[in-house]
This record gives sequence, structure tokens and C-alpha cells, in this order.
Amino acid sequence: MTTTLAAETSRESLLTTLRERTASVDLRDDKEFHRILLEAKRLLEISDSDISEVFLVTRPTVNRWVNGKNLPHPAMRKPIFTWVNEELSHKLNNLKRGGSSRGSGGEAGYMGEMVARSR
Amino acid sequence: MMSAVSAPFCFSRLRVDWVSAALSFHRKISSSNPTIWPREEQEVQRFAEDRHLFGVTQSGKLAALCYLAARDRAWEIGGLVVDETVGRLGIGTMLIQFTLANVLVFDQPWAEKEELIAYVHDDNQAPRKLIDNLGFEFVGKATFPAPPSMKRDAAGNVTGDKFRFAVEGLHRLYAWLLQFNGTLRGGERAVFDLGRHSLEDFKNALREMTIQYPRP
Repeated sequence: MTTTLAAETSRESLLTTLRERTASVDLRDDKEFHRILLEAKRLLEISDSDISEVFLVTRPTVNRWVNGKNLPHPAMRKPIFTWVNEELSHKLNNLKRGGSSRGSGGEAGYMGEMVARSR
Repeated sequence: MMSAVSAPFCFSRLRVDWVSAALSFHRKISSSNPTIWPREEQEVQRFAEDRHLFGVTQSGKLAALCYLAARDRAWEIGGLVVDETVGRLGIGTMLIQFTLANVLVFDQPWAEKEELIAYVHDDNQAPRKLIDNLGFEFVGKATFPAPPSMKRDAAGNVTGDKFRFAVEGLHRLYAWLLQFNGTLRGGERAVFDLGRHSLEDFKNALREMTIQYPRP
């Protein structure tokens, strides 16, 4: 019980920290874009396909972003950070409500909700 | 009395559920034109899965199609086909411009020393003016083994010209986007499906790129 609570608290802290970084990020910092994208993928438990669905870009394109190659132009990054920020907020709210961090419908439900929110 | 307003032409990356329509559309034209490389179903499927299939739709029907094939440090734009009933509206040109803009802002190929290219069959005159107007430059001749439906030489090869999208093209692309007013040549409405991005994002990115890559 204590371990679970500690893990939840730690997770909440990671989500909050990343959310703060997305709000104050330097859009021209390639390395930071790459780092935030990797951490967002891990903490939000999303795939390259999920990201490509949201931004209507190709899967190989997202795959290259994740690998630190062919990053989007800095002028295109703000909507990406905004979306990550919104998704982190959504996940934090779920955690604070004590519900599943993946939403009510399990993994598929969370992805569906996520893509729906992005539209 | 209300006047009839036709649905807008929507420019987008086509989803997988368009594969069947895209394949029929592509085949209808490639089967009667031996200068167009015929794509197999699996290839069209893969283009769509990778979201490398760009199209123009109106009222649930395809009006134009092209694809993007990324390989060997090059991004090839090809397979441009436009429904003959909507010819002369500038849809084909705008679809290539839409595709180019997408690749340039989301993948920054030039930052990775990658090229944007196009091949045109020796006997295919139709796209040459378009390619020139968009700012592609001639690179050289190219020869490939080709499927039998194409116009080939005795050895089974097709020969064509290879073009590369040049810095001049970037400046023309930006100028086009700046003056884009949401309509095609004949005044028909045109919309771009950009997801969470806006046209302003695209303009800002291309504007910065024109500064980064000034005209020679």
C-alpha cells in the first residue's frame, strides 16, 4: 500500500515536472525537443502511431523525431508541446481523482480519448 | 432562394481507409498511361499506413493523388494523378505544394542533407511545366528496370529525367502560401487538413527557412 502510494506520488511528480518543462521550453532547442518527446512517450505510454495520428504526420516522421533525426521545424513545435502539456494535465487529473491514469476504457479507450481530444 | 455551394476540395494525408479508392484511382490512370509507374496494392497500402499518401477529396470522392517515397536520403514525390473532370483548376499543382510544405516543415530534409526529388518519364510531357514552375531543377538522366505496362527500351528499362527541389522552389512555395486565399484557380473552395497545426505555423516555418536558405 505504502509502495503503491509512493509510486503514484513519484509518477505525479514526474508528470508535473515534464508539464512544467513543456510550458517554458525553448522551441529552438533540438535536444530538449527530443528529450521531452521521449519522456512524454514513456510517461503518457503512447506510441509513434498515436503521435502520428494526432499530428497527421507519417509514422516514419515521428520515428525520426524520436531518434533525434529530421526534427520538425522550430516554428512547428509549439502545438506539439501544447498537446503534450494538455495530455499530461489530463493524466495528472486522472491520477488526482484516484482513477486509472489510462482513462476509463483501458489502453484502447485512453488512445481513443486522446485522439478524440486532439480533434 | 439559396444558391448551391459546392463542397470544398480538401487537401490531406489520406488514411488507410482510402487505400481501395486510391488504388482504383491510380490504376484508372496508370493503366492507360505507359509513362506512369504502376504501383502495386501493397505499395499503396504501405504509403497509406505511413501516411505518405497525399490526396484531394471532395464530397467523399478522390480528385487527385500523389505519394511520397522516402529512401536513400531522398524524398521522392511521385504518382501525381488528377481526375480529368477537375482538370485546369490547379489541383495537381496545389497538391504538390501541399506535400512539399508538409515534408519541409515536419521533416526538414535539407537539415539532414537529404533531397526532395521527382522523376519524369522521357515521354511524359504533362508534369514538366508544373515541375519547372514549382522550382525543381534538372539533375540528370535516370534509368530503371520497369514493369511491362510502361513504355520501355529493348532491355526493359525506362529512361527519364531526375529533378531536385531547389532553394528557388522554397521561396516560390512560401510566396504561394502567403497569397493563398482558400480558393483554387476557378474560385472553388480549398481547405487543408493540418491537424493541430495552423496555416500560420506553416507560413512561419517556411518564412524562417527562406531566411536560412536565401536565393543564390
